[in-house]
Amino acid sequence: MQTDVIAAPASRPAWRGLIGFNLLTGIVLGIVGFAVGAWLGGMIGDGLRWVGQSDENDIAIFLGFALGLVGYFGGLGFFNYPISRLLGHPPSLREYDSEGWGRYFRMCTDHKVVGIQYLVVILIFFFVAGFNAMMIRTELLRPSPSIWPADTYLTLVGEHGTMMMVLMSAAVIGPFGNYLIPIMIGARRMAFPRIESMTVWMTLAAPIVLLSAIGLGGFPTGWTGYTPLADQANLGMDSYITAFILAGTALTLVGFNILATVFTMRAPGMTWGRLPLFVWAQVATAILMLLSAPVLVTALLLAVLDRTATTTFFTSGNGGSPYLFENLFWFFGHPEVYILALPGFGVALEILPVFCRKPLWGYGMAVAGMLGIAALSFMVWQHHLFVSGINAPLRPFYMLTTELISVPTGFLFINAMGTLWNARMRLEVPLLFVLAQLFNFLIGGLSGIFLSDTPSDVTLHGSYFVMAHLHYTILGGLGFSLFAAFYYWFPKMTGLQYNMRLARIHFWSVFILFNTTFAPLFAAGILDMPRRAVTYASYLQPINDWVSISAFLLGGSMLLFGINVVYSWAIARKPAVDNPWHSRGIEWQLPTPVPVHNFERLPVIVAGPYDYGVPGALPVMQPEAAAAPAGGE
Amino acid sequence: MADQQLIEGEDIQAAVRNYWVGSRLWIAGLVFYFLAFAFSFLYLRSLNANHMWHPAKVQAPAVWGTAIVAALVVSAIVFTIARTALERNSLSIWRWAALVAFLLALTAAALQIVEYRELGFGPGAGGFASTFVAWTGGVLVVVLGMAYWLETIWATSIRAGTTLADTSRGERRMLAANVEGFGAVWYFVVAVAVATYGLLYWVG
Amino acid sequence: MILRRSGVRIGLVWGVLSAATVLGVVFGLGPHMPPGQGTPQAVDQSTTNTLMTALAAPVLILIPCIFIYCVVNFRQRGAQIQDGPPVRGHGPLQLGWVAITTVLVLFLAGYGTYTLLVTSTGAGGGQGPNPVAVPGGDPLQVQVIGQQWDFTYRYPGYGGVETTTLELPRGQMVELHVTSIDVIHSFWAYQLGVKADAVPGTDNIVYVEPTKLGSFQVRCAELCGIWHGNMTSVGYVVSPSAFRSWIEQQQREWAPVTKQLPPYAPAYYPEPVVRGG
Ligand SMILES: [Cu+2]
Ligand SMILES: [Cu+2]
Repeated sequence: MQTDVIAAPASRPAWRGLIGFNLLTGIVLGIVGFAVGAWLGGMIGDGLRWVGQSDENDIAIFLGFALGLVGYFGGLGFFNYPISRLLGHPPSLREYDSEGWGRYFRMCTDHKVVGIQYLVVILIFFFVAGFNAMMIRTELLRPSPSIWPADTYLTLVGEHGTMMMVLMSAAVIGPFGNYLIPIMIGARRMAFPRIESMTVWMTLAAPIVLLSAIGLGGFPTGWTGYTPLADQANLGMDSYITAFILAGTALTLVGFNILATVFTMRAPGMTWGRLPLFVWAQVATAILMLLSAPVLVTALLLAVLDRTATTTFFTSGNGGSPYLFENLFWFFGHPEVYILALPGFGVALEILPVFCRKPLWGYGMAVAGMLGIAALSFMVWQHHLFVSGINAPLRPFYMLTTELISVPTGFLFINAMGTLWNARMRLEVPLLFVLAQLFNFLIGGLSGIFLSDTPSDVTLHGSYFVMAHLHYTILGGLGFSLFAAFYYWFPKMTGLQYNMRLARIHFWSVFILFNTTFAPLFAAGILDMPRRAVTYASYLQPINDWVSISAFLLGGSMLLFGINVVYSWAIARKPAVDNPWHSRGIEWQLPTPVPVHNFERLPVIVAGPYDYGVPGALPVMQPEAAAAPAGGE
Repeated sequence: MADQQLIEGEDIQAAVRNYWVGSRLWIAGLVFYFLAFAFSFLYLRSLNANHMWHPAKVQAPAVWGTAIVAALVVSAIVFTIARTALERNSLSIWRWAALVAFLLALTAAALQIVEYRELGFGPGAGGFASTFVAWTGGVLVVVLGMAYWLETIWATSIRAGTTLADTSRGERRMLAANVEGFGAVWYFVVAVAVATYGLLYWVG
Repeated sequence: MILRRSGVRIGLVWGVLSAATVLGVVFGLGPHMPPGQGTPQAVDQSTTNTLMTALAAPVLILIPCIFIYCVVNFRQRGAQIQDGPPVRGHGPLQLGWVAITTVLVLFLAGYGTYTLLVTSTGAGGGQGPNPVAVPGGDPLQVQVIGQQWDFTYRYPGYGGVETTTLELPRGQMVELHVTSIDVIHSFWAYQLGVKADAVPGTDNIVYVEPTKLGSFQVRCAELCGIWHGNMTSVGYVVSPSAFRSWIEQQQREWAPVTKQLPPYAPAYYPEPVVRGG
C-alpha cells in the first residue's frame, strides 16, 4: 500500500505550492488552449467556403473549447498517468495524496476528497443557477418584457435549466455517492479512482463552459436544445453543446465507475441483500447513467457536426429531421428524469430506519422498485412527444409504460410508510427533509400521471404545468433529499456540527415556500400559460406576482442554508460528536475524519445495515478481518 | 502468496476483477453510443425527408471501406494469436503479435482519414452522407482509443521484461486480466465496425 | 390492539376527506375543468383531467395522512433512545399495494387508449402525417403554418387562400394540417382542445369538431425564439353560413397574395439553415 506522504520541505516558499499540476495551472492552460484553438479554428474557417459566407465561426469556438479542455485537464494532471502507461509504466496510484489543503485543488484519487470537491462545486453552482431563477422570476413580475430584453430572458432560462440539470444529475451521487459508497461497501477506494476524480473536474468545467454562452450571444433553446431553433442560434449555442457533452461524458463515467465499484469492491460478507439502500439507489442510477448518457453525447456530437461540417442531421430540408434530435435527446432525457429521482429515494430510505429506529420495511421491495424504475425508464421516452406528430400508433404503448412506472415508484412509498408505522421516531432535521421530500415527490409523481396520459397531456404539454411538475420532482424531491443528506452526513464528512436551530428554520421556510411557489404554477399551466415565454396573458399576472414574491422568499431561505454551511464549515468549526444519530451505518463506525484508506484492514460484514431493535443484532462489521479476499459474496 | 499482493492500494483480486467488470461495462456504454448512430441511420433512412436521404450521386467508396474493415478484422485475428501466445507463455510471439495488432488498428484509422479526403461527396450531401461521415468518425474515435489501450498493454509487457514469465506474479496476472478485458472490447468494436461497414457501404 | 385502532382512525379520516374531495372534484370542479366543453376532443380531455384528479386525490390524501399520524403518534423524545419493533415487512399488505396500484394504472392506460383511439379521434393531439384515429366523412381541410412568430392558415378547399385568423364552421369535422416553415412551434388552440407541434417538413394532422360558437385562444406551446410568448391570437367558431361568407370575403381580399404563394403542399421545405461552420 502506498501511503507515503510527500511532504514539502519546510524551507520552500509558500508560492511554490502554486506551481505544479493543480487547478491554477489547469485554468491557465485552459485559457491558453482556448486561445490557441480559437486561433486555429479561425484559420481553418477562413479556408472553408461555407464559413467565409458567414460572420460566425463555430469551428473556432468548438476548437477553442476542445483545446481549452485539453489544457485544463492537462494542467490538473490528468494526462500524466495515461502518458506513463503509454511508456509502459505499471499501474500505480501516485496521486493518492493524503494530507494538506492542496489536494482539494488538484486531481486526487481519494474518494473522500472527491466527495468534498463535488459538494463544494454543486453548492456553488446551485446558488448560481438559483440566482438565475431569481432573475427569471423578476422579469415575470410583469406580463411583457420589462427588465431584461427578450433574448436575455431566454438565455437566463437556458442557463438556469441546463445548469440545474447538469448539477442535479450529480447532486447526490457526486458528493455523497463518491464519499460514501466505498465506505458503505467496505472498500478502500473506488474501482477507477482517476476516472472518479476526472468526473468532478468535468462537473466543475461544464457550468463554466455553459456560462461562457453569455459572452457569446446567449442561446435561445432552454435546456432541451431543439433544432432548428438551435441552428439559428448564435455562438452561445456552442457553449451549451460543449457543456452538455462534458456533463454527459461525466455522467457516463460516474455510472461506469460506481457499477464497477459495487460489483468488484464489496467487502467479504457484503452480500447484495445487505447492501445499504443508498448504494442500491446509486447502482440503479449508475445503470441509467452508463446507458443513457452516451446517447446524449452522440446526439450532441451530431449537432456539432451540423454546426461545423455542414452535415444535415437535424434539418428537414436536406435529408435530416428535427425529430431525430428529439428522439435521441429524450432517449437520454427520460432516464435522466430518474437519474434525478433515484438517488434521492436512496437517501430517503437510508435515513428513514435510522430515525424511525426500525428496520427498513420491505427491503427487497425497495430494491425491486428501484431496479424496476430503471428498467422501465428506457421504454417511455416518446411521452415527451405525444403531440409532436411522430409514431401515433405507438402512443398507447408509451402511455402504458409511462403509467406503469408509477407501480415501482409506489413500492418506495409503501416502504416509507411501513417504516414510519409504529416507529419510535426521532424528528431530527434529516428526517424532516425526508418526509417533505416524499410529500413533494408524491405531488410531482401524481402530476406526472396527467402528463403520461395522452388526452390530458394534450392540454398540459408545453405549459407551466410541466414546469411545476418537474420542479416538484427535481427540487422538491431530489433537492430536498440533497438537504436531508447534507444535514445527515455533514457531521461525518467534515467532523463538524452545523447550527441545528438554523437548520430547522431552513426546513420550515423552504418547505412552505417551495410549495407556495410551485403549486400555483400548476394552475398557471392549466390556465394556458406556455413555458419559457417572456410575455404572458395579463390575467395571469396575479399568479405570477405571487409566485415571484414567494420565489424570492424561497431564495432567501436557501441563503439561510448557505449561511449555515459557510458558518459551520468555515467559521464556527464546532466539532461534532461521533455518530450523533446512533446509526448502524458502516460510515458511522469509522473514526472522524475517516482515515485515508478508510479501513486499517478490510472489514467483514456480518449483519444488515438496518437491524434496529432486532434482539441480539450484531454490529454491521467486524473490523478485524484477517486477510480475506475482497468483494466476495 | 500472490493473493496478498496489493496493486493501487487494493487487493490484487479486486484489481483483476476490475478489468473484467470494467471492460464489460464499457461495452454496455459503447452499445448505446453506437446505438445512437445506428438509430440515426435507420430513422433518417426510413423518413427519407424531401427525398434527400441518399441522392444517387452519393457513392460510398467501397474499396476504402473494405480496406478499413479488413485491417480491423485482421487486427482482431492477430490479437487473438497474441493473446493465445500469452496464455501459453510464449512471450516473444505475444510481443510481436500485439505490436502488429496495434499497428493494424492504427492503419485502419489512417485509412479512414485518407478515405475522408477521397470521398467524392461532402457531408452536406443529404442524410446518408451526414450519417456516413459521423458514424465512421464515431468508429474512428473508438478505434483510436482502443489502439491507445493496446499500446499501453504492449508497452507494459515490454518494460516488465522477463519478470512476466512468472505467471504467479501480480504483474503477470494484471497483464493477463488487462489483455482479456481489452480483447472483449476489441472484438465488440470490430464486430460493430463490420456491421457499420455492411450498413454504410452495402445497404446505404 | 392499538395499531388496529390507529388503522381504523386513519381509514376514517381518509375516507371522509377523500369522499368529500372526490365529490368536490367531480361535481364542483368537473364542469369547469379545462379545456372546457367546446369540442368532443376538449370534452374528452376535461373528462380525463377530472378523472385523474378524482383518482389522484385519495392517494394525495392517504399518504400525508399516514405521515402526519405517524409523526404525531409514533414519536419519541428525550435522551434515551428506544428502538422500535423489528418488523421487516408484511407480505399480503405489500402484495395488495402492488395489486391496487397496478390495477389503477392499467385502468388509466386502458381508459386513455380508449379515449385516444375511439371516442375523440386522437384526442386533439397531433397524429403526424399518417393518423391512426381517422373520422369518417369529408372533413374541412385547414393548414396551420407556424413561423416566427405567428400562425397563418391556408384553406386548400378555397383556392389555397392564406388567412391571418382562424375561423371554423360549427358542427363540421376539421382536419388541421400543422406545419412550420422555420423552427418547431406547437399549435395550441386552448378551448378547442388542440395541440400539435408545427415541425418544418412535416404534415402533422389533428382532427377537431367545434360544437360551440364563440372564440378560442391560439398560443404557441413550443419554445421558438424570443417572441414565443407573443405567438397568440384569437380564433372563432362561427355558424356554417357565416363561415361561408367570411371565407369568400377572405378569398377576395387576399386574391393578389394567393397568386404569389407557392402551390399548396402538405409540407414546405425551407432552405436548410447551414451554419456558418
Ligand atoms: Cu419523461
Ligand atoms: Cu413558440
